[in-house]
Amino acid sequence: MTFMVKPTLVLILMLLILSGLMIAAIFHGPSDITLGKALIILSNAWGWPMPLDGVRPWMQSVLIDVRMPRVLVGALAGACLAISGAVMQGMFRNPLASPSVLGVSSGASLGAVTALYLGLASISIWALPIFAFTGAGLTMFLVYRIASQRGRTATGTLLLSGIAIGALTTAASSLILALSLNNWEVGRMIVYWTMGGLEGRTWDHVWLLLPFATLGISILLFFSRSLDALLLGEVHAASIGVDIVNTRRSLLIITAALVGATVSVCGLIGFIGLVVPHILRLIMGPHHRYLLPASAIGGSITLVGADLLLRTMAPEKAIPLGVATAMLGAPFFLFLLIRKRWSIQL
Amino acid sequence: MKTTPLACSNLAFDYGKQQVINNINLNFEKGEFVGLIGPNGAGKSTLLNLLMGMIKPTEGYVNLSGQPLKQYKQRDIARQISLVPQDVSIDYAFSVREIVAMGRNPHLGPFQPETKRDRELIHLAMEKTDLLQMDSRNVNQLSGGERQRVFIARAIAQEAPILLMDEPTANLDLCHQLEVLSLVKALTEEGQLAISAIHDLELASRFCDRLILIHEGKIAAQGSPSQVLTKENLYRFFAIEAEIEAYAHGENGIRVTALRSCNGHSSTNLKRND
Repeated sequence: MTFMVKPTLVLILMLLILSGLMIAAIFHGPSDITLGKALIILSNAWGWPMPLDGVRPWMQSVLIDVRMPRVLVGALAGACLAISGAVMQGMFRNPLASPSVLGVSSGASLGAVTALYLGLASISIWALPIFAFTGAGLTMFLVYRIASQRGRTATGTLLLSGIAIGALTTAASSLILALSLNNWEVGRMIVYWTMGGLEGRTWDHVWLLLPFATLGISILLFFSRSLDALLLGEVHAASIGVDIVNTRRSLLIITAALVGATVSVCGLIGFIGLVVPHILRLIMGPHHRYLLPASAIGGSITLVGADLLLRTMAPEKAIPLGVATAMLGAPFFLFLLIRKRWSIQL
Repeated sequence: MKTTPLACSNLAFDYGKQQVINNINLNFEKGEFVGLIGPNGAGKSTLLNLLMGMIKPTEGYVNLSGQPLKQYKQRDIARQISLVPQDVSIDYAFSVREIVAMGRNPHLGPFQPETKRDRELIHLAMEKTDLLQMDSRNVNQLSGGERQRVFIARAIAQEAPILLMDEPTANLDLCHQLEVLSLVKALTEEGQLAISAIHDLELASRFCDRLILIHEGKIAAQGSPSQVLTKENLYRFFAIEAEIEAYAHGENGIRVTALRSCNGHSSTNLKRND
C-alpha cells in the first residue's frame, strides 16, 4: 500500500494553510481593525509609507506589538512541540510518546514557577525563560544519567525515569504553588502561567524562541534517515551504520532544548507533541524525511488555529490555551489508546 | 602477521555476573562461509553482535582489516560488515523496497538522494532474493520468512564484504532455506566472507566451509563439518545420541539422524529397523 497523497504535495498544502491562517490570525481580534487599515499599518511598518488616515496609534500597537508576536510565538511553539513529539515517537518506537514523557516540560515548569515565586519575573523579563530553561536542562540530564549505564541507555528505563522525575518536579511545583497562595497575586500568576497560553507575548519572546526553533528544527531534519532506521530496532539501525549512542544523545539534547524554550515562553501546552505527529503519520507514512517537517508545520497550524479559535469564540472568558489543547487532546489520546490497546509494546 | 578481514582475540563479554562469551580467538578469511553452531543460549548471537561492534567486549578486542573495531565509526563499520538480525518484526508501514534501500545508508549523506548506482544495487539485491514482484508491498503484511528475505536483500544491497547472519533460515520454507544458503555460498565464491549462526546442522554442513561449535560461550570445536559433527560432539554439546553419515554424490553434507535425547526422556526414541 502506498499512501494516496504524495507527501511533497501535502507539505506544500500545509505551508499554504499555515500562511493563510497566520495572516487571518493577525488581522482578526477583539479590537476593530479593518482589513484596509491593517494593510496600511503593515506597509508603514515595512517601510512603504502610505497615508495614515483613520489609522490610530493604538491600532498600530495592537497589530504590531500584540497580535504579530502572539501569532509568531504560537507558530514557533507549535512547530517545536510537534517536531519534538515526532522525534520522541521515532526514538522510542512508540507512537504514543510525547515531549512531556521525559519529564522535561515539568522540569521547565518548575524552573519557571520558582522564578515567579521568588518575584524574579517582575525584575527582568529574562528571568523566567532562563529559570525554565535551566529546569529543562537539569531534568533532561538527570533523566538521562539515571537511565544510562556503561554508555548504553535502555528506552524502557528512560521512559520510566522520565515519568519518575516528572512526578517529582510536578510535586515540587505544587508545593511552591501551595506556599505562594499566601500572596494571592503571585499564586494567581503561577496558576495562570502553568496553564499555558500566548497571552501577552511580546517580540522579546519571539526573539528568544526563534534561534532555538530554527537551529533545533534544522538539526533534527539531519537525523531523518537515522530515525527511519531506528524505527526498525537498534540492531538493524546499528548494522546500517547509525551510531546509536550519539544519535540518541543528540536527539535528547535538542528536543530538551526545544521543549525547554517553548515551555519557558508559553507555559505548559500539552498534546500537540502527541497528536499532531500521530495524525500526520497516518496520512503520510512513517518516513521522517516528510514527517518531521510536516509535524513542524502541522504543530504551527494547530497552535495558531487553536489560539485564533479561542480568541474568536470566547474572548471574554480568557480560557488558557493549554487548557483548550488538553480538553481536545486528552479524549483523542484516549481514543488512540483504546484502538491500540493490544499492540502497544515499550 | 597477515591482515585478515576479521579477527578477534581473547574476546569476552558478560552481563554483570553472567559470563556470556569467554576467551574466544578466531580468524576469518575472505571467501569463507563459516557456520556458527551450538545449542540455544551458547552465545552465538552475542558473538555476532561483538564482531559487528554492536556491543563492546569486556575483555579482548575485535580487529577489522587489522584495525581495532573501536577505532571505527559505526558508519565505517557498516561499509565493511552487514548483519542480518534474528528478530525481524516491524510495526511500521515501510515497503519492501524502502527497507532494502536502507542498506545504502552507510554510503549516503543525510540529505543525499539515491544515485543510479544505488538503484541498480537495490534492484539486484531484490532480484537475487526473489523479491521483485513484491517490492511495493508493506513489510508488516509479509510472512516471517518473506520478511527475513527482505533483510537479507538489505544486507546484500549494503555491499559490505563481510556478511554476518543470525539464524537467517529460521522461519523460511525449505525451498527458501536452500535458496538463501546457495545465494550466500555464491557470494562467498565471489570473495565475500560470510559468518552465519545456523541451527540446522545438516544444512550447515552442506553449505559451510568451516564450522565453529560454541558451547557456554567458548569454542568447543572448530574445523570442517566432518571434523566438528562427530558423535562425541553431538553427545557432549547437543545432548543427543545420533547416527552420522556423509552424503554420497560428492556433496559435502553430513546427514545427522538424532536417535534419542540424552536428558533422561527416553520416551522419544527413534528405533531403527534393523
